[in-house]
Amino acid sequence: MKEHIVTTYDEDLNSLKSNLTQMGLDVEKQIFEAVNLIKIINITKAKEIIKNDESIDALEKKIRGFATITLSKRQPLADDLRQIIISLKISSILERIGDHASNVAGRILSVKKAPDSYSTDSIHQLGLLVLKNFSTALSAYDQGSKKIAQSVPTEDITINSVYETCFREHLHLMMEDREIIGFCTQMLFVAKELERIGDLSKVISKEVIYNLQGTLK
Amino acid sequence: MTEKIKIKSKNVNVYYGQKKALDKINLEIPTNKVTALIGPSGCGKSTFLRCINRMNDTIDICRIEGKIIVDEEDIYSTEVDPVLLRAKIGMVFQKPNPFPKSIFDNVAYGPKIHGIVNSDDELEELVIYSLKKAGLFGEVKDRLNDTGTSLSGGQQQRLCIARAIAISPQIILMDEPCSALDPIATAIIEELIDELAKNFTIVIVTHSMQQAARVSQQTAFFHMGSLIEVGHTDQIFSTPSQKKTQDYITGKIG
Repeated sequence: MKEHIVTTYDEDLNSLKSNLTQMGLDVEKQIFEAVNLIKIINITKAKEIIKNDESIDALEKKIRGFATITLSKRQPLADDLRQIIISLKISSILERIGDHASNVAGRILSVKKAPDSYSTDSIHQLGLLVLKNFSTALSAYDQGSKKIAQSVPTEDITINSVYETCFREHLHLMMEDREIIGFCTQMLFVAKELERIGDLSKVISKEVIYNLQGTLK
Repeated sequence: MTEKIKIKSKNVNVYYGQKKALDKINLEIPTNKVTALIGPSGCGKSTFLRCINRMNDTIDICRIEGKIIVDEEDIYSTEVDPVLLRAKIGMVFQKPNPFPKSIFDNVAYGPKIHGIVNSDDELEELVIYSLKKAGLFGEVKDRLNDTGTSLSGGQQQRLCIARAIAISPQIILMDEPCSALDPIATAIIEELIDELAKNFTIVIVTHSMQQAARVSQQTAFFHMGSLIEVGHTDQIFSTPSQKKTQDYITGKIG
């Protein structure tokens, strides 16, 4: 990779990237913890996740401020300009994903305990797939890899079909046992939050490809 | 969409003595559009600009090969009178260079020597028209007899543009017209370039990438005497196809 004549320009761009990667890792941890909650309900942990979302929001603001200053200071062009544009876009997507992870924790807080007859396997499985695909999207950004980025939308198709299965399964459960309708509804919301994270991971991968090839497809 | 081409260079080589300054330049410049020439110092962009109005003729050691065709006519053919050619092509330089004459005479000088006007009334009308076109008339209308050099830098540059316009050229060449101006004066000139492009074909040499991106529709990137890449300005500054262009516009080395 060629370097800029002005060293501090490279430092600015590197700093922007490391901040964004850090934000991505923080969000990844939030998703990981939220998915774990589905399997093992833990009120303290759920509250912690909701609290941690504040620091993710703060990181987004920091990245936006930094990107704005870099734009005005360097007046970047071509790939440099795209790198800053996608930093703004991805940081805002990460902030949204953080909200979804926090919402999962919120739903778990409100159910407190799963009915004995209920198995969390299918939603937990959905969560694991979503977490894995998010990590793939993040690696695609970190490594600047088109190949990795291209695998994200393909995997999202699987996620969507697992989500559909979860949805049908829960409808079935609710028809069989009216007692668990309240709980299942909350779990369907959890599934929806996870499915949204899947969609947003796909958007991140598209931004990575835009950065690399210069056009939106 | 096919654009009408005003200037066409075909395999243009330029030598200063033994040194080759331009190598096989093939470039088409569309009519009534702004074309920006960019590239590092010494890349040949100003040399190319000066080929278009045969300014290089005045340099003894300068030798030009190839053809530059303006409106289907090779301007280097023996039948072309360089003085008449320059009446068709106005030029604005980096540093404003008004004549040590009044504002009025600065603009009136060209039309007088080229015999463009028949009466004093006509001349006055043309001077006012040119000053208006250059966006300067409002600021100087009460002091047309003051010397041109009494104006501010930005005003002087607009005076030079008015002077270029007064001979009703078809082409205006600009060699870093804003590099000696402050941001406000620069913005006024850029606004003027947008306006002028409706009636003139403009070729501008600039070191400011942002200026090239703002004012031009076509951009040509020169490097060490060669034309590396030419294309729509939006494309050149967002997704250049050549690595050298990309490195230059983003300021990279290595």
